[in-house]
Amino acid sequence: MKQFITPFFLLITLLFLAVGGCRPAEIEGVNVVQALSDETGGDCFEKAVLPAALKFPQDHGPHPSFQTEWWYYTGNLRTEEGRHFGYQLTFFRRALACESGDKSPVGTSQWRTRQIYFAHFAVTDTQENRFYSSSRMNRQSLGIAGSTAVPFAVWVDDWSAGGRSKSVVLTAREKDTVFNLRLTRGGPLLLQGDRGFSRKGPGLTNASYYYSLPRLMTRGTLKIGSQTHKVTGFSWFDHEWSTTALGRDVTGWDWFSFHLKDGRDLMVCQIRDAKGRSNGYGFGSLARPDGTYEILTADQFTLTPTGYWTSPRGKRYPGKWKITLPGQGLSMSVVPVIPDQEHTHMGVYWEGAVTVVGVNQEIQGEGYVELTGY
Amino acid sequence: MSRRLIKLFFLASLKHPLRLVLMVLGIALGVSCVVAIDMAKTSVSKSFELSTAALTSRATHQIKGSRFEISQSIFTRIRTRLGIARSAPVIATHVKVKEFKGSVLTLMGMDPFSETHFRRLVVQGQKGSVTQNLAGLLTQGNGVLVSKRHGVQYGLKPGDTLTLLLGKNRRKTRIAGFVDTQDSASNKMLDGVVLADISLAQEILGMGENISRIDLILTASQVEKIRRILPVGAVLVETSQQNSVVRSLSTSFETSLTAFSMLALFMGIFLIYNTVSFSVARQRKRNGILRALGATRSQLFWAVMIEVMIYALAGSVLGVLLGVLLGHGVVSAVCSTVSDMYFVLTVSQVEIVGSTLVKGVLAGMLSSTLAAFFPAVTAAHIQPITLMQRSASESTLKKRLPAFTLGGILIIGIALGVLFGFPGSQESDFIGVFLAFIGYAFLAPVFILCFIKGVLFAGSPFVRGIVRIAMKNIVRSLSRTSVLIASLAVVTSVYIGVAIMTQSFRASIEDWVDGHIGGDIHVSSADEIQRSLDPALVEAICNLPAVADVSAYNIHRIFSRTSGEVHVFSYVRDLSEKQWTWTAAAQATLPKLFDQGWIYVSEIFARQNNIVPNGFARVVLETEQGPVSFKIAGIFRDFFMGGGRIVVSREVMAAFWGHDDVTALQVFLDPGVPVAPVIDRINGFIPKTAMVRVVSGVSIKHSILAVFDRTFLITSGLQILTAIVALTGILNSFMALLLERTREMGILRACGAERQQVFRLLLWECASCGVAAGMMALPLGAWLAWILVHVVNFRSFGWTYEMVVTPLVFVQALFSAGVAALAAGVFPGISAGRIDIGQALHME
Repeated sequence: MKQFITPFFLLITLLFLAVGGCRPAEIEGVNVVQALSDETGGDCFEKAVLPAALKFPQDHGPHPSFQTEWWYYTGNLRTEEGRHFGYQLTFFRRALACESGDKSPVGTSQWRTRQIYFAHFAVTDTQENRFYSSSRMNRQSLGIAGSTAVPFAVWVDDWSAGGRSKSVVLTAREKDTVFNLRLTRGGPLLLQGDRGFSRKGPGLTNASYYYSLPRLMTRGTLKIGSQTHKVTGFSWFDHEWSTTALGRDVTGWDWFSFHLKDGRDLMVCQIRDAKGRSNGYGFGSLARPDGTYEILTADQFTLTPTGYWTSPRGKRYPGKWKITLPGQGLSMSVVPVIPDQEHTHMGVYWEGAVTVVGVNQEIQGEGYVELTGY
Repeated sequence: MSRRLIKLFFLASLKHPLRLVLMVLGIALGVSCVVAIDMAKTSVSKSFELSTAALTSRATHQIKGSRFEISQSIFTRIRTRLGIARSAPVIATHVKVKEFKGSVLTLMGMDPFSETHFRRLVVQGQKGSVTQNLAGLLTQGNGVLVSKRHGVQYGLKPGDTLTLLLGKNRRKTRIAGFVDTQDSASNKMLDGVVLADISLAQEILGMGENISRIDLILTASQVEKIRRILPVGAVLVETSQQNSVVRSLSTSFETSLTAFSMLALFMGIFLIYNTVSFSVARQRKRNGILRALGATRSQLFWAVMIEVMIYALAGSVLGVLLGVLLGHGVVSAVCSTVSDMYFVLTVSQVEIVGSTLVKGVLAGMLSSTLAAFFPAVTAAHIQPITLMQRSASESTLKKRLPAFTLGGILIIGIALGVLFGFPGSQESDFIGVFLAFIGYAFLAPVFILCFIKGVLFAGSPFVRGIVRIAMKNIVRSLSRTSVLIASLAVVTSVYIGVAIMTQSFRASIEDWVDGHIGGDIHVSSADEIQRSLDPALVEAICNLPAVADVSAYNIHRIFSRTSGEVHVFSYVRDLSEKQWTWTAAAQATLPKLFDQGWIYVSEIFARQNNIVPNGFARVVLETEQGPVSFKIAGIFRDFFMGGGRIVVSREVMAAFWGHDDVTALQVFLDPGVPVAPVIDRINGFIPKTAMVRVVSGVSIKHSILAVFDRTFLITSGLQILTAIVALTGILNSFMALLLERTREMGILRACGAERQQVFRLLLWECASCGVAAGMMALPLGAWLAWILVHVVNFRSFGWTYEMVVTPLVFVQALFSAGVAALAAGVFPGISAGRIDIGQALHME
């Protein structure tokens, strides 16, 4: 459900073409909804309108005929001593023009490209109450950024995710924050929506192709400053591609993923309309330890903010949540591990590590939450 | 009392508005010179800063290639292997833009996605759809961005065509949008740039898989990492150091501007001194009366000073305004010189800083104070009755003549001591010259005495009647005429000095052009992208029947850490005639050394690289094979500017820089063969699509001389200025003299002298003054020329050339001084003739 971010960042990028550091005041000035409703140049792209049989490993790689795509890794990690860290490493692809048509590259230079890539890298140090966040952006030229299906790889500069068969290595470095993680697949692929066709709104093209790997065993090192930590934990992976965006009245979305201690993995998401209410096209999934899973629809869960937090940048986000899934008999409270996990580079949004506790303490877990449009 | 005195002084001076205007104007002229030249200096600095700031931005380091090209794969390595995000690939070159009336701008190809850390340029915010188009145009089409100011100025809008001219090569692009930073300083910086995506720039320039450079912001630990991955032929340089290398090329040119601004200041001071001292001297009688009426010395002193100071302030302010106006013209002349000879200033910025204006006002005020001080002291200290008699002043001066003369000699001695005691110091040069001028001025009275007496003695049979009276009058009023003649002499000497320097320089340039571009026809590539000439064309030209000889060579730019950009020449057959300033061995053996890989360097290059001319002279150059130390066979005199010039053998060029092409030919024809038909024949060999320039040697010579002539535009301006200063000064002085002599004129007229005779008398006086000043100026002018040629120009440009002195310059100077004085005497002469006899006699 991170698809809004990409066009948003794109717009920012283009406004600051040739640019100097993005100035918050000007970022604030950009109307996100306008950016999302901009469909210029999108006509010739392929769109997600019907369920399609996803094929692997091909579909792990890029889908350049679609305008937007991302590979999204989030996870909660611990050292042997139990010190907690959250992380996010995300790669976005955005096509500037279709593979064919009037806007095809005209020149011969290898710098010519239709594709640009972004990446976000964040680490939450719960003990020290610190949040490290950074971004990269580049064009798919000369191998500076790109993605491949076999072997699977996606990268921007020296930030990368890649590997063969069932394990993927993530590497990223920004100043003194460096991580190197190996993610190993535990269970099967989870095809979101209808066999991977995930509807997001009332429009014919308001949909994407979307699959997840909800529980990836994670092991590796995380260096912050001069200290290197050996860490283990679980990661969540999403891969999604689409062309259009959401209805015109959408203001943002709230996305949750959890690794519960009982072995279940839950994802729920709601899309908010102009009044800040769910637009009715929320979605989710619940995966069981035995590899089976269940697709959730908007009417099967509720998301209720129970507290608020105002960021130093002046944005007011829900700070705590109550989530209920009546059909599953679940009622949980979600609390961030630290309040300030707001990304302030390029676009401003909140995405961070959280803990989840059942109302009667019967359920415990960790997860990641993304809040945009606040 | 003081206030009343000052009021009285003002009322008195207001009665003579012409004199007042002349005095204020005199001060204003002096100040304006100082302001205009200072403005030119600060503007060049600012223009340089703006021209490079847009390009180098915040980069701490740059990776460059020995041929100003590096492989783009280095960038991929930096990003994906080293993970240095603060890196940006750049392609930069100068292009002319047709739609901007041929202005030279930098075509800057950059990668918008890598720019985040470097340049703060913001595309004018427009609606989403336009932004989307921008992306398409920039990364996929032929879209470029230009500054909004340029767009508006030339009536262009997004979507319009922008034609980039690279020699005869034209590339059409489209304006994708305007860049506007909302900040005037940054916008000016953008005025010099056409921004394009790096892909488009690479295609336009046909750079294949190469880029111009990579900009980096590095930490100390990253520097070493970068060095380790750099391929041979690529160099990591510090941006600030590189900028200062390029900047220093023209800093020396600015030294010469400083020299000229000092000369202007000298003249300004002399003019102001002349004007003010005459104006004060003129008031002697009034001052005497006031003293007799009871005004104290200090009251009189301050009244004189304050009056002058107020006019000086008015003159200075007016001078600053005039200077700013004048400065605009000077700035554009200086900027075009710098662009022609050192580095292209894509932004020409007129910069007026507070210090320039303060300097101007201070020059005006201080020199006026200085000029008024002695007359004011005299006015305050002399007995009233003495003060009322002008002759008293003359007897004082005559008494003090030996002291004056000795003082003058002493000051000249000190001046020479300062000049030669501290070689290499710019300040000591200026102080030395200034002192020499002052000292020389002190010699004026004795010179005039000797000169007039000499003329009267030698020419006694011929110098009679009115002429004799006129000459004696000059000696009689020595206190005024010596100041006048000294001032005129200073101004004339500046004229002589500048004239000799320009003449000598031009003669040397002509020799140099003849020696280096001596061919009758010059053939070169007019395509700035593909510079090589077709070998078939070269052969065809060589085989033409009228062709006696051909000098074929190639010229390529290479990167140098010490000189920025150096032009390397390699000749297939070198027919140029070089004048060696140093050779490692006997001149005859130089070709042998040259064939062994030794190189020749130009004098300017040698100076920039601190090459000590001895048997072990070497220089390290960046080559495709990394840094290589070359032995220097000889240093030749050269006027090729910028980073200088190197001549290498064909083998060295091919081995170290990978060029074995021919980019230019000089064709020597058989004696008597007309050039034009051969040019036509050569043009006949050239396909219409090929871009080759064929011009006659004569026109090449003219265009090169035109560039150098522009360098001396300022000096020509200075010469005009000397003329104005001279005329204003003399006119002022004569008007004052005449006023003092009203009674004398009255008596002459009462004794029967006709108007015509009085007029002629005054004209003779003026002409004699002029010729005396001209004579006095000759040695000083010659000396100044020597200083300009051997000290100022050498230091400024690195040029050495012989001083060419022709008698014509002296005759001209003498004649000009005489005519100027004569012209200045016309108006006072007519006034003198019209004097009312009765009133004049009544005056005392």
